Amino acid sequence: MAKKPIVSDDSVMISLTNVEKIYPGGVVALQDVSLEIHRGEFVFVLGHSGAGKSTFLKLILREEVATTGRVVVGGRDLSKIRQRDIPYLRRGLGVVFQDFRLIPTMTAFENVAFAMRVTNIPEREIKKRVPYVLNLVGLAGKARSFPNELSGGEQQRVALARALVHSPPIIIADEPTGNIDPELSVEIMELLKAINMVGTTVVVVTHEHDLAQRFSERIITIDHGEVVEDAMTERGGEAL
Amino acid sequence: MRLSSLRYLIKQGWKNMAANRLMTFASIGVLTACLIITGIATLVFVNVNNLVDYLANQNEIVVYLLPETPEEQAVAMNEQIASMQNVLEVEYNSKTDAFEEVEQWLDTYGNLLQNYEQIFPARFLVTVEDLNFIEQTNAELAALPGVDFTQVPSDLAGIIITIKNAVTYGGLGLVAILAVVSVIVISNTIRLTVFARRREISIMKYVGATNAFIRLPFFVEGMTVGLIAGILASAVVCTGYYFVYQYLMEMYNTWVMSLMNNIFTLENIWYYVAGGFAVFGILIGGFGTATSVRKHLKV
Repeated sequence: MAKKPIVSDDSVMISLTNVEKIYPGGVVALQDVSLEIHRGEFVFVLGHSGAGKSTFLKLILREEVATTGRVVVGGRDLSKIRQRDIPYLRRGLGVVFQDFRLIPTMTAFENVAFAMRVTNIPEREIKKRVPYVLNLVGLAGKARSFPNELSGGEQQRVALARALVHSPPIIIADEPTGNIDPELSVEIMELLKAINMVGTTVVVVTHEHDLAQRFSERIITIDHGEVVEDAMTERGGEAL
Repeated sequence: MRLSSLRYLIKQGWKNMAANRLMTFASIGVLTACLIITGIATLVFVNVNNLVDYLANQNEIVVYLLPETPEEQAVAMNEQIASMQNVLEVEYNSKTDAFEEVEQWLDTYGNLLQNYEQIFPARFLVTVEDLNFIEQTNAELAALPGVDFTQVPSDLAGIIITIKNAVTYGGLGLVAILAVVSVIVISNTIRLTVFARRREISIMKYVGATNAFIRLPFFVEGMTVGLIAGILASAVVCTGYYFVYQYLMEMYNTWVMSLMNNIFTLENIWYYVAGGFAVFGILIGGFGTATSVRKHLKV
């Protein structure tokens, strides 16, 4: 029987406690990182290239394991999770990448449906759910378009639709505006904000300080593998 | 797994084959060549083995009894010999049988043997199961009470053993080498497919596809390549075998004809060849994929 995606009832969605990550060769990517991200938060993880943002993401997605410390996502301790349970953990995390990661030979519909097919969802449900999600991201009329027929912003919307298709409690966006025009970046961020408004936890990893200031409620700044600042913005303060 | 998912994955495997058609053709070609050589080696092995067994069965120990051994004792000995280890068959020739045989051989001069009916010793013609132990069996037979002496064609047995061992080990060695080559061919194809689809695979991982789901299309691809190569190879080998058999049958050589009686006809073996190739192809395809996927597809 298929396992349900991992979802925590606890309000803490992501928690890192004294996490250290040292890659083979002795490169220290993260050191003594402790933080908590709660249900419904809209958080920016800010840092320059090489600051440790990617490692942070890899730990949450369980692509890498912390050298020391504890990473808990959706109530699951990732240092103890079994290899075969990792796919079920990832079904609870919608991921959006800078380079969209769409399959060029598939239409927008197929790219979104692909995420459902690989998780063993029946075809009739796919046919109902995919148009609904494409509509949510404003691409109802582009379902049959291939990625090369779409603008950067539209491609990122398809990627967002794919991330949303499982209704995950957490959306993780890795430099989601890195490959698109500034105007379209705002569109994407507004879309993420709208997703957050319905209770989804959104974590945006970026190096764009201005974007973070404009949209975030909370900014976690990483530098040289350490959390140097974890602050609520004025917007966050208002919200709280 | 749902039936619709299984159908989707099988289709994905076939799509991959079509997408990488040049590599697929190359793999099928190389694998077919490997299977053809494997098939020829196996058929030669099976037939030579059959022939050697036939020749081995002609290789008898003759046990001559003492002239004074009574007929009743000989009958009892027959049962004793038949129950011995490594004895496949035993045939008793009484003094009378031996006499009649010589008389027949002398043909019109048979009457020369009048009054000598009892001079030919009774004997047992013993066929052994395993030629490797012919000397041991011979020693046991020679030690039986009532036995005068035995005749054992040790040299011929030695030659037959050498041929059989050479064919067995040579054939098995060749098949093993070709099986390894075939696995490497499949493994390489899958490696290239994994490389070509690395983007898709990484997306599958991020959206929560299970390992089995990611790997299955590769198995479908590897096993299909193996199956197609198996079908092609069996068609080539069966056709070739038919023509070689026909050619040998038309040689009208008595010696060849006597050997041909111990060569399998195509009607008797085609289904083994086709089934064997199909199963071997699928297994090689599956095994090649498994080694490649484990090594190159970290999911």
